[in-house]
Formats: sequence, C-alpha cells, structure tokens
Amino acid sequence: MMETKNVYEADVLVVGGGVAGLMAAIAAAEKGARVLVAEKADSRRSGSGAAGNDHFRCYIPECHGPDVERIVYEVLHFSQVGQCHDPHLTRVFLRRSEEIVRKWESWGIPMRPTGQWEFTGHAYPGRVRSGLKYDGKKQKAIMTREAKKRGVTILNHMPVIELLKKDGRMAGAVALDVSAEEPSLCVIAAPSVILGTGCTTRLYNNMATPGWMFNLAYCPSNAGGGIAQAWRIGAKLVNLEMTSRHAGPKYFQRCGKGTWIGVLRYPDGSPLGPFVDKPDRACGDITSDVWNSSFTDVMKNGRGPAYMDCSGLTPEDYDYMMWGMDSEGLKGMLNYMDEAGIDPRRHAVEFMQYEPFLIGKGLEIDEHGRCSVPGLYAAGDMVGNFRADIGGAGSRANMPEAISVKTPPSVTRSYALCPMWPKSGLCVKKS
Amino acid sequence: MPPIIDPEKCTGCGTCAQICPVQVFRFHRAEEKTPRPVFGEECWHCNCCVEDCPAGAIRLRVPVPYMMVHVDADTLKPARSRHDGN
Repeated sequence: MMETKNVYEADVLVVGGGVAGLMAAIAAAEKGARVLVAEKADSRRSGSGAAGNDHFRCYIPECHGPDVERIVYEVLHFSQVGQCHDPHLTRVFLRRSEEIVRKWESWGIPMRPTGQWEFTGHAYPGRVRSGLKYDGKKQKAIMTREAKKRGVTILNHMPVIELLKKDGRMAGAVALDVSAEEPSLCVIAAPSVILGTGCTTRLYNNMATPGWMFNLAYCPSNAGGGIAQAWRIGAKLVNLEMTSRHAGPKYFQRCGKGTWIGVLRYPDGSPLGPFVDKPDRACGDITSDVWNSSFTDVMKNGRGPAYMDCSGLTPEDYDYMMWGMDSEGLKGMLNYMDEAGIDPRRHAVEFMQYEPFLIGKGLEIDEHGRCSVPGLYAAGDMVGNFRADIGGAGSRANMPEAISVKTPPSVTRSYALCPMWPKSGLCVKKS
Repeated sequence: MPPIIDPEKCTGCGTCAQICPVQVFRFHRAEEKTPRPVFGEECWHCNCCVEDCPAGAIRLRVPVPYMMVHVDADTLKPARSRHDGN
C-alpha cells in the first residue's frame, strides 16, 4: 500500500514549474512568501517552454509609442490570439509586459540578441508588430536559478493529483512523489495555490501520426490534469469548448510555424495568401494565422497541398531563420532535417493542420490572477479568459499584491506542524 | 523513438533521466551504469537530453511516420510551364 510520506507546508503552493509557475513563484517570493513549486518533471526543462521560444508578445513604449491602445487593438482585433480575451486583462498584461521583458533580460535571457528590440514574425505587412524576437533556449534553467535564488523550493517529480479546500478556501494539495522507484503520497499545506499547469494536449486523436500520441507541438506532459482538479475544487472554467488547432510541418508536429521565413504556396507556385510573394523576415507569412484551416481546406478543395517555400531567402535571412528556429527549441527538427537532407533553401516543406487542443482555455481569472475559489490563482496557458502564450505566462503571473504571504494560524494548527520555520525554507515533517 | 545513449560516452550522471519533460528514462543507479529509455514511444523529440548531456552521448531517432514531406522548390510552378518545354 502506498505510503503517505511527507507533509510540506508553505505560504504559496505553485502547481507546475513551467514559465508561468516559475514566474508566479518568483513574484510571490519577492513579496516575502515561503513558496513551494510542485513540478511533475524538472523545472529546468519542463512544459511547452522546455527547449525554448523565440517570440514574446509585448508592448514597449520606446518602440511602439506612448499609446498602449495601439497594441491592444492589434491583439484584440488583428492578432490570431485575441479570440477569447478579456479586454481589461489584455491592457493589464500589455502594460506589465515591458517590465517582464527587462527582467528576463537582466537574468541573462537574450531579449534583444541583435542589439536592438526586434519585432518579427506573425505579422501583417504594414501594421505595427508586437512579437518580440528573443532567444529562449535557456529560459527554463535561468528561471529555475532565479526562483531558487529567491528561496523558492522546487520539488521536481512531484505531480499534484488533487487540490484541497478547507472551510471554503484553498488549503493545499495532494501530490505524488515519483522521484523514487516506489512512489509515495505527499500533502502540501498552503492557503494560496497558484495553478500553472499549461495547455491541454492529447484530448483528440493525433492528426499527423494516429499511432504516435506524443508527436506533438506542445508538451505532451500537459495533459490538463490541473484544469480537471480546478473543476473538482469548484473553480469557474471558461471557453473549454473553443479548441485551437495548431499547424506546421507534415508529419513531424512542431511549434514554430511563425519562425519559418517563406511563402506558403500551392503546387503551382501561387501563394496561398495575399500578404507576401517572397520571404519577408519582418512578417513571415501570416496567411495560416488568418486562414486558420488553410492547410486542411486546400487538401479538401483539390488545390493543395500547401508548402512552406523558403527558397527565396537571402543568406543573411536564412541564418536569421536558423537562429530563430534554434531559439524556438526546434533543434530536434533541425537535426532530423540535416540527416534527411532537407534544406529549406532548396526544398519546400508540406504543412498540415494538427488536431484540436486547449490553449488559453480553462480558469477564469481577474487582473490579479484570482480564480473563483478563495485562495486559488492561475497563470499561463491554462487561463481561459486570456492568452498570450509565452508573454502571457511571463506577465500574468505578476500579481504579488493578491497573494497572502503569511499562513493563517488556523491552517497551521489544523496540520499540527512545527510552528517555527526558517525564512528560507519549508518545514517538512515525516508522518 | 527511444533516444539512443552511447554507453561508451555515458558517464552515468543521470541528467537525461532527471530533466526529460516526458520522463522517458529510468535510472537505477545501484544497478545500472546508464539510464534506459523505457517509454520510447513517448519521446517528444524535444532534444533536451541531447543538449543537456554533458558527454554528448545521446542522439534521437525520428520515427519514419514523422517524416517531413517535401518537394524541390523548383517544382512549385504551373503544370503548363513544365510540359511546354519553357
């Protein structure tokens, strides 16, 4: 029979050590909270940001001008992710985003690797661009270091399996310690719980390779358990019926569709969309963001398939694209392409639409990240009324003023734990 | 496909088993020198183990069904021009 081995106690439990979870942990720790992160894998390489990212939606006044509304308009009415956005949260996020960008830069994540702020990709020609091009290859290791520097305790190989409530407010969670060959149950007592468990994959049959469930653009470990646990604890969820369908190379499912700098073309060479007729480093080809089902539609109407044609790239822009792909975490794909002899300068790669999944759908939050259950917060891809992918995960977690930084005495007594704990750590008592 | 660890290069540090985001590896330090991929079909091919292995001992194999379909970019032209000898 499985042992209940450890009871941990903290002021703030963060469920998930991805970008959102680590940023939330850092924010709470900076306010003096004792923070514990429960991560099912290892925070240095977990979640959808595992291998990197190359674009961060943000508003930087020195580039975009003094009026944030200019970018708000793009996000809500022109960007591909404005679909289920609370407009107020969008403004709050954009206003905070510069602070997060500069914070990440100070930690050693290259946010302007070319020397200046560059906004490229996922963009309409002629319109203002808000996707900051950056190098996120080492972001998880850096954020892990920064969290630990602030006294955050990270428990890796510790998936949370159920949330706990007491007297109508959050009390912590039950977790499974899988760090050893023999798993054991743990209880984590905390009056504030921040969920950052990411998007939800593997809900539907794999579109590219039906027999291979883990051929995915986003992290296969993001299975939606956190959203289900929030449902069971009584939190309000929204927009779960609004699935998203990502797209990219057929059949190797990857993110980074916007990192390819080329033109989407029919077999007869004509472009799918009206936006570019040769590779454009500033914009990419936004056709498949606007016409979300393009790759499926052209197969059904007989004009397809659709190809990503990068053959017109200048050598400089080819190098830029390769660097962007590496930053985005596509090295696995690049190594495969090397071995298979696939060269984007000579070969046009067929693209396809992937199966539905959930991103930016789940918990409803207010501008402080609060959910409908007292003491419960959420950040990142599992939030249901706001989505900005990596930028959202980084910025939405910045709501320190709402976190209770001291454990109420009633919670302490109910777990009968040692009342003295060092400022830098947690009290752990074996039962 | 299961990542392949070169036993000649592997130092048994266990980094791959520790950091894999999908926990593909098992490593019984008392019994084995080298971690074993035991859920190979769950490999995400994220390349994190390849990059974080201090000995450069790991490589990935992408399964055949994941092949990236591609054509010579030169062939993306109207069919008429190919057949008219233009």
